[in-house]
Amino acid sequence: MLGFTDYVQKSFYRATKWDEDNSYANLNATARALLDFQTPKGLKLNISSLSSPNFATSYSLASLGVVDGSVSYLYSSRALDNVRNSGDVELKDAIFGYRDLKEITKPDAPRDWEIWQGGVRVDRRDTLLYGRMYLPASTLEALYLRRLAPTRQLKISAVSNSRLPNGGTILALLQQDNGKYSSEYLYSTDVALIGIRGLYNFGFDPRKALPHNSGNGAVDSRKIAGRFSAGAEVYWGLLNKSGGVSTGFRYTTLPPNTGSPLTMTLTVNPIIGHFQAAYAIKAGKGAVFCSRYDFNIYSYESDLVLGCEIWRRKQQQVTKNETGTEEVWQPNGFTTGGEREDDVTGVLKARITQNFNIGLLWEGRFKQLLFSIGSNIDLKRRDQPFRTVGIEIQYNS
Amino acid sequence: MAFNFNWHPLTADPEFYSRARDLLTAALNKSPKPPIIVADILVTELNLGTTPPDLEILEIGDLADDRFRGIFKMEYSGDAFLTLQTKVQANPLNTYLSTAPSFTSPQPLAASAPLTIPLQITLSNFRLSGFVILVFSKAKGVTLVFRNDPLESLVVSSTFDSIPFIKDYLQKEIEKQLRNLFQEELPAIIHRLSLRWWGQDYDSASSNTLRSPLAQNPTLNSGPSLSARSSFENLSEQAENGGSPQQTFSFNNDLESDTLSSKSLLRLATLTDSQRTLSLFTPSIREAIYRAWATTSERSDPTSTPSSTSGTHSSTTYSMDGNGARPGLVAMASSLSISSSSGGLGPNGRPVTRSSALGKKKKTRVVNLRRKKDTSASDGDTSSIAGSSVPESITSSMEVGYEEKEHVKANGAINSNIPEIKIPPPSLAINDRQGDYADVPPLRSPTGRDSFLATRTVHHAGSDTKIPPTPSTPSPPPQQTSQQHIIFPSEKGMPFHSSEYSRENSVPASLFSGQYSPQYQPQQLSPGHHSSASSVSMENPFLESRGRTGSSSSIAEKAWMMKMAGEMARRWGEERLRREKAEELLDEQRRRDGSSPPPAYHQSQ
Repeated sequence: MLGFTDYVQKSFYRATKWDEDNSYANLNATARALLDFQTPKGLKLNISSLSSPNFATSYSLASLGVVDGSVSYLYSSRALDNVRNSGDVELKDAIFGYRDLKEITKPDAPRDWEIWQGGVRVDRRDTLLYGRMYLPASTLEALYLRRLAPTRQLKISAVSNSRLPNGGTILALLQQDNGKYSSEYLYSTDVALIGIRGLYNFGFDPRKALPHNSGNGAVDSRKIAGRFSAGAEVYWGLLNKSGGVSTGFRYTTLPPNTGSPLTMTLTVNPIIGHFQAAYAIKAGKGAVFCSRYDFNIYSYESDLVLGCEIWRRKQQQVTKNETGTEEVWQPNGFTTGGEREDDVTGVLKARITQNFNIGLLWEGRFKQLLFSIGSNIDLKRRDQPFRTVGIEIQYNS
Repeated sequence: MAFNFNWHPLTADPEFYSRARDLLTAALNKSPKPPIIVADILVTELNLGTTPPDLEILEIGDLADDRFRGIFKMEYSGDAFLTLQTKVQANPLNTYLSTAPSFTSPQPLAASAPLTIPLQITLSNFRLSGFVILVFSKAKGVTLVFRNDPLESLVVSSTFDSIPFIKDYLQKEIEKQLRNLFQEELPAIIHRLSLRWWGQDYDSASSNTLRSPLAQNPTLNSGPSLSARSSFENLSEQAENGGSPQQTFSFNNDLESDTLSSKSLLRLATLTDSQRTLSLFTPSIREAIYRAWATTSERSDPTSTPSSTSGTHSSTTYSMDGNGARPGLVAMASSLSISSSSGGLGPNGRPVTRSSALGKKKKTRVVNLRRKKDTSASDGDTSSIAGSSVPESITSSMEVGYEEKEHVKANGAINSNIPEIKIPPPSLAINDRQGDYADVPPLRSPTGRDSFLATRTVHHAGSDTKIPPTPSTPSPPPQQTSQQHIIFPSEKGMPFHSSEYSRENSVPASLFSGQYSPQYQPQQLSPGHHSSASSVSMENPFLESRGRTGSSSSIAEKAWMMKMAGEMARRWGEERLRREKAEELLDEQRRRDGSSPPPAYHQSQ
């Protein structure tokens, strides 16, 4: 489950029209959401509030042996009107799951962001500030997020902790998203790590799209087939003189596709010799299945993870959904999908590794509370199969 | 003096390397490993090489047949090597990200994919230089501590020698781990290894420490005859406890200080048995330290122990604190008398828990406060003790001890039913002590020993918690308390000197009043009420015995102290305590069984 501040950040992205998914770092976000989800440990309570459209606070208290907690504050220069409380939030926004990728859109022209008032330009860049203090651990997290331009965003995150080397680290990330391609440049103070990431979307170029395509509703044939993306990343640590390289490919269907939505990714690390292939398919409207296979050509180590997520809906609205589903297959009618998600009451996630390590997570809403109950089960340890059990409760207002 | 260090016999044992490998493996995996190491570290090969380390003896603090303590300067540049096997993370980005906080992680997609590679590391060309403190004891094994970081350099050769980053990283990490190993783990390993070498002894030691809380209630023991049985009892108990030998390791000497090997117990039992017959035969105990040895060695090497320079050491110990927390002295006394007087050994009943607690207190060496008196008082003793051969002294003291018991027996009937006691004001006791100090003449050794034994017997018989200074009575004392007092009569009509001490606050002054009085004659002692009172707890009898020993054989103690450090003596003392405790247990058991002890040793309870 997304934390409240993560949810607010996503809302900020939406409000400022920033496409998170169009980044190489999120190339396999679907597989990660389905297979690498975190099960809660112990009891954790979150109480959050968006006291004003610009200001949010969140408190969390966790009890796992020792009681610890955190206090976080968030400020956004953009009024976040799209943030909803825990009783109204759509679960698909609050829960990581299968990523239905949006069509890439042509970014706004810089001129569109200019606001002139009486001959003076008054527009400002949107900024998000976020700080979080972990109390007994004395760890401070800080985030500075700024939309520099319609195609650029600067993200600076820092962690301060006396136990870390040099007392903490700072990561600066400059992201550039042109729709057709995106690039990221990062620098981390930890080992003076510099990195470049890039993603290129083949096929449809929104910048060259015919103006009438969006207007008259005619289907561009190039948009239907889905999207193939390729990307690469390079890291180099200046201090430890070591680096890493990887490249990745993704094919995903887009909403105009009439078949079952699916996402395929393949990532290759040529230095380490690591291959990772993931395949996720949305079978029906409420179930997603995913498998991922890892293989290393040097050590012959392999790993296989299977996972699924099943969305549970309210029973009485099934008939409505049936009719709505019929419309889904019409390209024009897909935009009604947002309303159909309201009746989701919970999501069950499950995964199993080849070591028979099972992770279970049930996320849902009870009255005004969002909760997630999870457990990690190791079947190989018969005496003590439940490795972790936990529940997390979240209330946002 | 020459030392012979055998390097090869250590490695000749075929099981040595496997044991050492196991211990090293356990030690290396105990501490949290660096993130680059993703599997357990396995020691596959270990060779100590052929070149022994160069040891330069800086100081020897303690030296005997079965124990040794010294400080060395160690230099090693031999050909030992060690081969480790583990799995490492070959992707440095993965290693880096595993330690970095996730909030600022760059979150690479696949660049941080893991790749674990089996790694073989060979550590060789050790260059060590450091100061080593080595403590060896047959009962406690070998304790070896590095005073500084001994690791100067070593060569790490691994599968990744061609990759400089990983090579440097490994070198750095391994050096870090090795420093930790040398300073923390290696002493533990060596200690455990040594304990396995003398595993049987260690088992008995652990069983003894286990039994110590058993003797909570102070019981009185009846005589030397029990010592043999007690040792056998020890053996049986050891057999019972032997199934689960304690593997807990501690550097604290006190925890295991009251250990005595089963073999030594058997020998001591034989010794005491032989002395009961008053025969001159004394079995030789190999690891025992005899009084004659102590004296001669003290003369030959007077500066071996730097801290104790004067003979007053012994005398100060017991007079210093009123709590009676001088087990070192008791130990010393016992170490002298352990071979000589079985009667003195056995009957000294006391709460064992208390004695062990006292033993823990006693770690520091004793500062000398009163040197003149003690030296003067103990002057006369030196020659006699030093000159006497061991068996003779043993037998003589034995005879004396029995003689004393006869007296006790004789007087016991008279004094057994005296119920009343008077407790004088404490100022009197102080005055008495001062007077005693003023005119303490040198004690002759037989007298001193007699008095020592006698008082011990009396204590043992009376088993009193408190010995208050009481007004003097010239005759064998009719004043007797029911439970808590003992009376020391004086021979020549002198004021009656006695001591009062309780468990919490014992007055040292009053202690000495009784002990140092020159007119003190054991024959006149009231034997106490060994048959009278019902429940008499003997709280601090060793205080008395200690004081007595100090006065009687103070010269020997002085020499002893100069020779031995306090630890050793304390160990002896605690061993004696333990034996006595065993005897008490037996005695109690026997009393429970209904068989009455001989009248001389009979204790009222």
